[in-house]
Amino acid sequence: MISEPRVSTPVLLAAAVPVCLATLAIIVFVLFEMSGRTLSSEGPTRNLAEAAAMGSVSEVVRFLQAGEDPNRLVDVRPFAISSGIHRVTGLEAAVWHRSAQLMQLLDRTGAIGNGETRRRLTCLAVDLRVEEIVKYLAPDGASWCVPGQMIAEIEARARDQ
Amino acid sequence: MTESDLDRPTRWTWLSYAYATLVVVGVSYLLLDIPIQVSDSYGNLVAASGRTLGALVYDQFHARGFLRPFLWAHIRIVYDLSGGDYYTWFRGWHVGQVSVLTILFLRLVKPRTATAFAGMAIGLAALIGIHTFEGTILEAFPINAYMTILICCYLAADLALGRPAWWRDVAAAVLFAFAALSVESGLLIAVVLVAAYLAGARGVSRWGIAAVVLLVAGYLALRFAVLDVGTPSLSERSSGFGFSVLEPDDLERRFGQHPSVFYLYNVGTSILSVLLSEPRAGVWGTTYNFLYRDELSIPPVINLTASVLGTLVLIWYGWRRRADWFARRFTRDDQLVAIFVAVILANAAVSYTYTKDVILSPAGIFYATALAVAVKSLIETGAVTASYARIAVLTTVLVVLSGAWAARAIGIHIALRATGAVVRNEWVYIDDWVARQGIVPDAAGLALKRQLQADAISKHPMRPIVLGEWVQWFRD
Repeated sequence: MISEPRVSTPVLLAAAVPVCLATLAIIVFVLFEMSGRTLSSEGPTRNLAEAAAMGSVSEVVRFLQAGEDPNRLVDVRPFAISSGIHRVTGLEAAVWHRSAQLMQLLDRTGAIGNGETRRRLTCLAVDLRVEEIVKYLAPDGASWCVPGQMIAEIEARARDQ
Repeated sequence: MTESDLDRPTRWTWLSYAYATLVVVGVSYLLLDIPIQVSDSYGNLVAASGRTLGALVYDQFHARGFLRPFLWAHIRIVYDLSGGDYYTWFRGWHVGQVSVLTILFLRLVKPRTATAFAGMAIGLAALIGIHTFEGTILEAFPINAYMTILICCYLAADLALGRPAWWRDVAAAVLFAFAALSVESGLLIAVVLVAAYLAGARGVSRWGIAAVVLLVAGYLALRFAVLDVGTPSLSERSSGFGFSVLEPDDLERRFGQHPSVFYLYNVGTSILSVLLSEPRAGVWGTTYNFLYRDELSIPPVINLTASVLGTLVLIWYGWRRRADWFARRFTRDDQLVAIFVAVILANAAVSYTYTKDVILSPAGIFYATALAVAVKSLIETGAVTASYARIAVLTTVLVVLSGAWAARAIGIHIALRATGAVVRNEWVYIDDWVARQGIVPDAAGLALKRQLQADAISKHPMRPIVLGEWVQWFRD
């Protein structure tokens, strides 16, 4: 028979409770997620634009594979970019992620081309001061851009809604 | 408590196993979400699948710098067993390894009382929350060789601390041979067995220990005299020193003439890393941020608090038990602490050429077992008859200790979720990676790439990102 030393309850609880609570919290998180709701998250990304803005490149590819058009205007939730930006294309959202690699990936799909879309994205990158993307989209410079115009246009979409 | 008392499970034993099951479920759920990695996994799978098992093992006996034939055999066997369902098998294997490691932890700690349960809970949080453990679950190659060694280390301790039996001697020798030929840190199996023997454990007999020591000599002869595998050179990879990471050229320039200085630095910082969580991989990052950047985030403070307090508890335990140790009287708990002391010294010694967190993972897991038994002893000093002042101090210390390790355990779960996202993004750029590595996959390699990419991106899509300021309290 094991004789257990009579230990003060507060001492015992002080040792066991914090770690046990942490384990419990993790199990609660797991159970919620298994039931379809991830705690402390905004849920799964809803479209390519949200995925691009969040830098979830694998999700961008998944949406592309599912046939989503990166040039289509879609609604994005405020956490993705900012509370003032509600409606963007996937390509525009990718500029906000500030990654030339992601832009290159989207370019490889043929979504950017060499016309108006490239010019508009370049100006957005200029407005957001993402030099890396400006260099990628317009290696010869972007002197035609009117500072602030693209951002203003995108912000206006929210007001027009 | 007698040996037979320890063998008899109590309700606290069952409660401990139930609690550990919850811990394993939490880790496993997030671990299963991580796809097979690109770096160190895709290339290894292509290499392992391209030859017969025999040829693969034979080639590894003639590799330069490393002698890991059983690691490759391990990869190849799981690859074959998977029947093409790589995601399920390799991730499932990893989860299985975590489960086995946890069971072995409980077998070593043997929680039989409420105080032992509390000590076990903190020890288990330390097992999965310590920084040296991260590399064993956040990465895979696609079998995590370090995790395999951790299991072997705990198995060796379990063999040594059990009742004497001839089969334990045989098992110890086989275990050593398997571990040593899987990864270099497998040599620590011998340290575990010898340390346990010196601390009075007789599960493995004197003859068993002698056989293992002979095998160590055989390994060294095979590696250095017969196969001439050697060790990685100073300029093989970048390494931490002081406040920064030095590139191979810088290492050669600074220590080429006196490598022993660098080697001593690695040994010393490895010991400190396990005991204090600082430095990490030879770099004093937290210290630098504190001294020069004026920006100290919460997680490093938590890490330091947990480790410093935990180490103080271990020192207290040693001080309290010193009279018995000098008289060579060791309890089972003492033996676990003795194994930890031996493993941390040996682990640091074998890290002399290169140190990083995951290499120290064997010392990390024995830190967890030693902490579990030391905390149990500490709790036992808080008897109901103790003074209010003593109870108050003890309660405060234990709340901080337990809370800090709890936070580190939560941190590793956050890291697991983040790693799942990172690995998926890596699969998007797999073609760039393959080109950079100069790998030219054949038709089977290309098919494997497509399958693993589909697994990572479309079949097992990314789960929602966990947001919120609170995340930064637990993880940088």
